[in-house]
Amino acid sequence: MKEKSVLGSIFSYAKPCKGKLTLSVICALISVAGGMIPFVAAYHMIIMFFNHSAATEDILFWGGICIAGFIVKVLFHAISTTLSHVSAYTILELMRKRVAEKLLKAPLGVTQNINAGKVKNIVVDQIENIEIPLAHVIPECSGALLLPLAVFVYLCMLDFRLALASLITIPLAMIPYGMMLGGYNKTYQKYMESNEHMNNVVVEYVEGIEVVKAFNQSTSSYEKYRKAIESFKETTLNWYQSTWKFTTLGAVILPTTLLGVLPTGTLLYLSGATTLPKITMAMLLSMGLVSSLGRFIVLFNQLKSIQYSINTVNKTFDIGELPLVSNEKNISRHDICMEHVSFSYNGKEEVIHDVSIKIPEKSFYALVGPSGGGKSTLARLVARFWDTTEGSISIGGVNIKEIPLTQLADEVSFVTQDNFLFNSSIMENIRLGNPKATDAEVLEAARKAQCDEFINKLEHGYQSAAGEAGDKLSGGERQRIAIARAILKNAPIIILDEATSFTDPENEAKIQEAITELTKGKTLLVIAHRLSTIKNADKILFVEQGKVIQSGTHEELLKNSDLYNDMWLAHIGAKKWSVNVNEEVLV
Amino acid sequence: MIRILKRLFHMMGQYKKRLYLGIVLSMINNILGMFPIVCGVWVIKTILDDRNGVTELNRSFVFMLIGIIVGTILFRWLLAYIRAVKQDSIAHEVTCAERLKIGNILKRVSLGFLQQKNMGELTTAITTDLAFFEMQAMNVINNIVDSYIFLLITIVFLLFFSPVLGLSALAAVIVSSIGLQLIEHQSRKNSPVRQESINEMADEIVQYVRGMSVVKSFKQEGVASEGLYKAYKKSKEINIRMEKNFAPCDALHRFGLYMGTSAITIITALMALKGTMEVPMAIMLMVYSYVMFNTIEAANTSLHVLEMLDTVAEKLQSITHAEFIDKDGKDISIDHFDIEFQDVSFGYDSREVLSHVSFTIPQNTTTAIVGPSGSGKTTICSLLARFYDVKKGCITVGGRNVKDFTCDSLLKNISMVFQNVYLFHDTIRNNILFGAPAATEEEMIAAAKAARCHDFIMALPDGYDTLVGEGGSTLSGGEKQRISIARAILKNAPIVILDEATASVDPENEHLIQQAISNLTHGKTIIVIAHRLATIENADQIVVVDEGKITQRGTHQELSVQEGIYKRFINIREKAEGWAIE
Repeated sequence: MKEKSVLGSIFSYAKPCKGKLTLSVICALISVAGGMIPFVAAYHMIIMFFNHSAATEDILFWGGICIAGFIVKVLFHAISTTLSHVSAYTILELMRKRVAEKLLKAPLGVTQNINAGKVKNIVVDQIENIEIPLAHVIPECSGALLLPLAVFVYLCMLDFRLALASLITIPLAMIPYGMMLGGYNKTYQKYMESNEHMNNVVVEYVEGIEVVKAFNQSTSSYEKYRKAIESFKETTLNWYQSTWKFTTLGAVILPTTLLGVLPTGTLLYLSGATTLPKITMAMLLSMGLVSSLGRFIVLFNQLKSIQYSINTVNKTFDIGELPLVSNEKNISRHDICMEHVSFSYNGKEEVIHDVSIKIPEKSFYALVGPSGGGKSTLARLVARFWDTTEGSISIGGVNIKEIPLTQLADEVSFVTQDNFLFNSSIMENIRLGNPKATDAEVLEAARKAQCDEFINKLEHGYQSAAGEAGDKLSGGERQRIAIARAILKNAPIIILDEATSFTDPENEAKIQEAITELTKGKTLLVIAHRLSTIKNADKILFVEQGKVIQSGTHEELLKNSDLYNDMWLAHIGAKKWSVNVNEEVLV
Repeated sequence: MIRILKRLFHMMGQYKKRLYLGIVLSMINNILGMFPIVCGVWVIKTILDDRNGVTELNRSFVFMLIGIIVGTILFRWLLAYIRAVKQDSIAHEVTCAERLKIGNILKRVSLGFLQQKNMGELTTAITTDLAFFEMQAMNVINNIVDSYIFLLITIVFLLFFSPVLGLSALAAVIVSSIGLQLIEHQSRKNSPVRQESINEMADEIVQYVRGMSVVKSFKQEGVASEGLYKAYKKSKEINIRMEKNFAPCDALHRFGLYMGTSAITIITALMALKGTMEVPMAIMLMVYSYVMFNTIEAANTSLHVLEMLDTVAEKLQSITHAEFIDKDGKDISIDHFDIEFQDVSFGYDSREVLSHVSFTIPQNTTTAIVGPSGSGKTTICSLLARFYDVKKGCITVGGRNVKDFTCDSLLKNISMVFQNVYLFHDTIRNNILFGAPAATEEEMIAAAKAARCHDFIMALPDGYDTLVGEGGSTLSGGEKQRISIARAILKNAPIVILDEATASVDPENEHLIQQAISNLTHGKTIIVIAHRLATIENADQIVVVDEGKITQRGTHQELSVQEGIYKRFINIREKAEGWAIE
């Protein structure tokens, strides 16, 4: 993705608050203009003294003008900043929404691996960080640009030579800043990388602290943590140290506008080319420049940090989108057909090679094979976690790429161990399966998934917040809620990743009953782990190294396949295995 | 404000001297910054004198001017540079020190403390919050302290020079500080609200990302984003409200200062008119009045940052005040590994999870803990490893109370296979070596072989040097499990705590995991949260836990003839293990 210019990227987000921002700029300009008035007033007073024409009422008059100017300045500044902050927060909200939308459009296979902490850091911290610069950039940009401009024009009208002299510090100050900026982007990036490294180490240290303690490795882990933190400090300090000599010089030169005005003014006076009031005015005005010039530096840094944040937001979420279609297709059958499917995660190593499978409607197919053989990937391709690299997958004769994702979601339920519960009530968590379902339907699904009993035991029953209750719910109970959700969704095709771990036996029995309810009368594809579970399958496909190498019913495979036979025996053996049979297995 | 500054100063600890030096330097710098203005007045006076024919102006005066101003610039540069080196660097040092301090604390607190704190919050404190501190603290302190001292000097000078002028300046400062007080009041009121909205947003986004797969497969984008967008909106609204409250106070603050400028301008003009002040002096004071409040205006923008720094300091303090669980612990070596629970009661908060639990585990035996989920099985194991301290009763290992040990010397004796396998984002080798960093390559590979990892590791392109993905995501559950077992095998502790549920995360290669576990537990004292019939039947002792109490205890033969949970358990288990779909 090419890096857009800063202003370009800000404006791409700023559209909805154009009006407010324009108004903010206008107010900023008025405020700047108001801020000029006191200088003019002072100028007039000074002239009166030089001309020996000062009178009390004149002084009070110009004093009044001075105060009026300040009032305008303060008032419009307040309005301008309020408007720009409102706009900035609106822009922030929009950026955050963009991130959320972007995540939704990414392929399931990608979202699965997204690190929540990282997203949180970007959405909450990074984006929040640009608020202050963002809110200040618009009014101050106009202020900081316009005030010098207005001053300059006014000075030009008085005497263009004094005007030029008042600006001399700008090119002078640019020299050290320019020298500093030589490697700015690169250094900043290095700094951010070091920062990211530290953040990762910190996250790991904190999240892994349990393991760290259990292996009493706190000392060595702490060592790694310490190194990361200290090296970050070094990087930061080195960076700053290399810039300090430049920044401090620039910061000292830039506001010293009298450097040009005083000598030039005196010289001009000597050659009779200007007058004392003009010099005095130039002095006054050039000092008015000081504060706005100082902001240039701040502004520059702010623009940089905005650019960085926006680029991060843009880049991090440049994660690809599945090509989407929106026309609902008419799907009347619910069979699955894979034709010559090949797939690779990264475009290099293929993990699925030319697989063709036909799964008739309402049949029960199972995928077995060693781990890493590709059975999970195969099943996930059906739910379009990713798109196939070659070949096609169709449901009811329609290529799944032609089916809108929402309709595909209606068609296929993918039941896994990943039983995420949202932080709403249990009722709503189940209702996710079908938002239109009535309470009665939700209860029915919960009952079928064997959830009814334990949910009723909770203090607030179905209204208990799943987030809080989440800690009290066992893995098995959470899984049953997830199954209830799938039952409610009632998709005609079920893909089941049957990696049921042992929970307590009552739970397990109930999960099994729940699964039986869920899979009744459905087209069923099971990624099998425990062979006994799938011995009744219509067809078992043995997947190894990305290919289906054998297929048949349990009995057929037992007869014809040595591989399957071995697995079955291992499985039977595993059931009899016990932790405490004290014999060492030979390596 | 003073309270917060005090607190921040306190945080600077050993660097306080450098901080003060920096303040003095920038004071001098600020005063030097007035030099060019004095030069300006000098120019005016010289020109006036020249016009009146008192002295004659010539070119050497110009060179002198340039010389003085350039000299001032160079001197100020030097001061500013020294200040930056001495003072700005403090923030980085202190931040680093604070981060290390927290890391050090985490090493020594109980896991109970960590669970209360929530990992995300800790991580944010170490990274984001402290980064904010690092970036802002010096700036803010400097701005505020500087501008106030500078203003004080100015006012004293003015009072001395002309009481009327001094009093006007003082009045201006008083009006503007009322504005400031209001701002401070506002931000003190709003800071926690804002923080809360940020936390809420953070929770929502984490939930959004974690639930993404579920959301997509149930095409419930609306439901998921609803909460998130609500949090976004709330954060926006709170911020906007704060801004709207802030603006008028800020305006008052600025207005007060500008009134000071106006008053001084008018008064000096009148004084010059009356002849009580010389014209060049009057002009200088007028000009000066336009800049004298600049620094304090700048300080005002730092005030809300100061409040935010206070919140950060508060948060850090609450972390650093944690109790070290093993502060009285000693390094103890034990030579036998019998375990005894004597009348142990425990609760995480007010809710009692275990009550009056007593049992003994002789060395080199296997104890199976059986019971419904939530009955307290895991808690028993956590207490043994002293993740928490018991409320009543005591636990002994090798005849010594676990409370007498340091965490390290206790855990040296215990290997745990966790329910949640956590692998570090590091090479597989280093993950296994975590069990015993001093182990040789051969020992490490032997452990990997015993844990049945070696083959799949060798099949990876980089073998043992393969980087484990974030949270171990590039490996299958079973593979991660086996690496964690290899880690435990390498540790070779005499006591093994095992949750058998983990043994079947990836049952497709469960026999491999089983072999790995057999190698791990061989010849050890084993406590297993048991699920498998075979394991339970072969255990030397079965402890049945229900609702925090031990309800049955004995061998399989003894318990299977008793009426109770155990009998029911065995029946269901048998059925579940043979279950098939349809």
